Amino acid sequence: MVQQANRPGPPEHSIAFRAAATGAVALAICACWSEAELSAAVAVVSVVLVAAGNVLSYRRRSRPLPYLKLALALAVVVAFAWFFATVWTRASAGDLASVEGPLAVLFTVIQVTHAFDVPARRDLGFSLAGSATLMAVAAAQSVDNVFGIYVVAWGALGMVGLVAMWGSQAGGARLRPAAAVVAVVAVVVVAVAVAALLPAPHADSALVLPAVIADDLPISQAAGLVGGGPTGQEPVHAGSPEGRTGVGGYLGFAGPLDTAIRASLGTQVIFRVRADRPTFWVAETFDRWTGQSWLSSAPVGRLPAWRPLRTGSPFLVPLPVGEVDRGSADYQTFYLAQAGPNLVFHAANALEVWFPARRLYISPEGTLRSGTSMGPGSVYTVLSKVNVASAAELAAAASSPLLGGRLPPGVRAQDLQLPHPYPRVAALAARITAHAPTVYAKVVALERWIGAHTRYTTDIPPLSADQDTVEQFLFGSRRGYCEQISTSLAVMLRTLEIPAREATGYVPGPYDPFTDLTEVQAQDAHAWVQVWFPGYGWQSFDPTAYVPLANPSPADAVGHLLWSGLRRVPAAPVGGAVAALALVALVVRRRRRAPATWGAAVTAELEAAARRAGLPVTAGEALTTLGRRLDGCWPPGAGPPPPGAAGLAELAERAAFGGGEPDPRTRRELMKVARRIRRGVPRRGRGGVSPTGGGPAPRRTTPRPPAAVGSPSRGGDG
Amino acid sequence: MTARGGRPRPPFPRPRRAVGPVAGTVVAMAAWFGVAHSSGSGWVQALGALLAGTVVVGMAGPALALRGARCSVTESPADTVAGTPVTVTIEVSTAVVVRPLAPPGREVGTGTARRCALELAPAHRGVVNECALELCSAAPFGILWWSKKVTVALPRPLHVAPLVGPALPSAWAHDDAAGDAARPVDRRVGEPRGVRDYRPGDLRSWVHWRATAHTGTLMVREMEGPTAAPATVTAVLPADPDAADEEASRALGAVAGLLAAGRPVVLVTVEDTGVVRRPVAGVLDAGRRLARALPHRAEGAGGR
Repeated sequence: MVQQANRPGPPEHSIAFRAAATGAVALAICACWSEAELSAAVAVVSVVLVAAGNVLSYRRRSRPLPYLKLALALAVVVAFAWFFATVWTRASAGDLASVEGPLAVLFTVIQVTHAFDVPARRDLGFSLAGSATLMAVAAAQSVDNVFGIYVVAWGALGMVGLVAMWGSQAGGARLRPAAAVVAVVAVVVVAVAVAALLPAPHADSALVLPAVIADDLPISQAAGLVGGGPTGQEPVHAGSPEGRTGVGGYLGFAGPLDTAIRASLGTQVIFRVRADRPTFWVAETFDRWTGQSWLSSAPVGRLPAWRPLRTGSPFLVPLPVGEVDRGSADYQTFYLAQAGPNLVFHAANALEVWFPARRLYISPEGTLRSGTSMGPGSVYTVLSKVNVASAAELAAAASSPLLGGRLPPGVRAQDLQLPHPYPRVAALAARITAHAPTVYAKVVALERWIGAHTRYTTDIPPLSADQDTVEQFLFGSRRGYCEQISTSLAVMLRTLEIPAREATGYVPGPYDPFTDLTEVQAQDAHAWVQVWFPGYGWQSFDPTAYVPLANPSPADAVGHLLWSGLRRVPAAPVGGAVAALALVALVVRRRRRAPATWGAAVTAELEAAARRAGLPVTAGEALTTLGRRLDGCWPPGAGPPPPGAAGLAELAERAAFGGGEPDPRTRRELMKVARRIRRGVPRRGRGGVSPTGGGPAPRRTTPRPPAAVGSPSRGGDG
Repeated sequence: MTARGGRPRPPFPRPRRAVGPVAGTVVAMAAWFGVAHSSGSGWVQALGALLAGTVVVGMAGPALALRGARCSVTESPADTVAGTPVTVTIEVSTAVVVRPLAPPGREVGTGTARRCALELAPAHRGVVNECALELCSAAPFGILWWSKKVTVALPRPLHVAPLVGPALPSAWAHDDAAGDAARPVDRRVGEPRGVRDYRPGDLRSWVHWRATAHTGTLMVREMEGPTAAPATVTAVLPADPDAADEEASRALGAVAGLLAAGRPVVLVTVEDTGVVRRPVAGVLDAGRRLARALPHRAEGAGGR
């Protein structure tokens, strides 16, 4: 059986199959290079060797080189030895996640060596299958849709190769264009269906949780905050400095959160997240309100407030102050696309962090900072506990978090702190929540009031230094952005002695089903409110979600509604399915409309030519008669290409009535002639002559007797 | 028409050696999606879905391609000898590989041409009115082969004569009744049968002057010479096909030998219409008769 399996197959002569297989392998190598699995030098050399090997294999397909197999086998053994040695070394160091690189190199070496010995069809099939594994190695590292170009190109090459293989098997058969289109459409439809039916890969199903740091620079100040620049305490510059404020980037990821100014945020992708559930990605929480800015109770750099975590990856994160150990645990893997702050994003409460650094820092509120900066390409994974209580649970919670005027454990004084009494705000909050018995009811009432009486806009001038953000927002313009809206809610809650604080981070952006990643852009930066509930800890509320846009025109509102609805539709699968259906409909329609026989096709062409020439086409007229009239349309000195319309018509009639069709080649040639007649026949009134010789053909008034069915009409018009 | 009055359904294609490829594909796809799921990468899963789509279409596509495949034999010879290949021309509606089943032959891919030559090599004598073919396809991706058995009628019956067996001993070729050997019959004696045109070599005395005068061309008398008594060859074929072929071969050899010796031969065979006792015009005629010949039935064994 082994001998039978190893018996070389007959040499494969199809150049198309060989070229497609070579192209697929070369493309897969390029895909690995694009995902940084292979260096550029290795990729270029490999592609050149694969091409050269295939050329050699083709030239020697019938006369294999002696000792070639032995040399190739030795090369493969050496490659395997190198691979296992590398993996063993890295596994010993606990770095299992970095095995993909050596694996890609191993697969590439195998493909290169195999390229020198692919004489038979089966060998080329192995090359195609091998390229699939290389593509899989590259795909495992891909986090953006650029990889789709490689997938489409590789899929096309693979299908071309397979079709060429089938043609070679069937003695040189070629797939008809319509059949090829149907096959491609069927593949796409099945692939979309399979992708839709299969459960999406989740972050928690990964065998190895990815964690890589790129461009890491140690931070001079322990627990310091790094912005977009190489050093310094500055906000993230993920946006372009434009707009009325002239400030780029989100200001919420700095030490203080300045609510008096709003930066212009762009659409740059900040990071991509693979998470079990989309939620708010928390960066920082703030508990001290100054009237225009939020501050963290732990001043930057003050070590007693920022505790270092030294356990190493995965870091075990203690439960922050005031939090309750409840809810379900979810994994989130963050793929950074921009240099960002050294904040470790997470969902609700982080429990464990896979982060390849020596230490992390945690604030009492649970804000996590790394000890190094993080450049594009950095990846880390967080196991977070999403403590989301239901509305019923929160409604049933204690009516007041204060225990007889005393702060309960978990709530600190700064969670109720206000820079000044805010009498007008307190009166307003009291009035709004007069009929709300519970904390939850108060929060909901305030959210609804804000939603009903304020408008969202980022197009407002910065506040002056003496202006209070909340006073200005609630009793001034009542227009503002998320920081001002959420701050107003937090301050109103604090006037009601309900512990509240400000949180900043990102909301989930669009979900990409191909990468299974949620794309977070700069404009997804957001601020919201966290309210403390006895027994449930800090719960997030987003009052901005209730606030309509400022002065939206009906058209804008409808457009926004439509656009937001459309954005939720997964564009690629749905678009692909629609395109596939359209193609199928096109092919079916074309096939239905196509004449059933060659004779019918010629008839259709000649009738179209007659209509173009302005000749009347009647149902009872013999085709040869029409052909003769068509031949008469040409001006003197010119004429239809041979055999002429009449000759064609005669052949078509002979084919239709049992005289036998010409052979396929002749049929094709004659169809070309028919098309040339249709295109070249003089149009009515443009120099054409009537069959009788003078001017355009007159419309026939007397119907002619129908031609006898069953015998070709060779006679005259009668 | 079927018993229920409907049209007979065309045979549905069946996969050939499908267990291995299907099982292999299922295992590979399961492993692929396992890896995709555990790697947490959507592109691996998308790539796997593309592969699954290709494999599914590649496995099911041939069935659809074969479902509507039509085949007909447009040209075929009338005669051949058992074991000798003959070429028939077939026309198929789609690109397939055609494998002759009965009579057997060499498989051929139609390629781009819809019409191709197919070699059939009938192993046994008989009359072939139709041939069983297996249309095979792996379109569009060559992943799995499907086949469909069709029976197509030949444009005309193909008589497969038995191999010409050894000639009979020369003594058998002699006309024992006349007492002379197989020598040319003397045409100068006998009864006049009519007149014919003069041929070089005819004797002057044979000239029939009255007819010559009447027609204006030289006419000679044609004499019906004494002919050798016809030899009767009775082909009694056993029921066993191989033995019947052997017996038919011997009979044909005997007929051929007798004919070569100048003896007229009456061949007795059992055919569809019953026992046929008829002189044969030549070896070709004898071959056709023996191709049509049925096994001999013992008296009373076959009923009517």
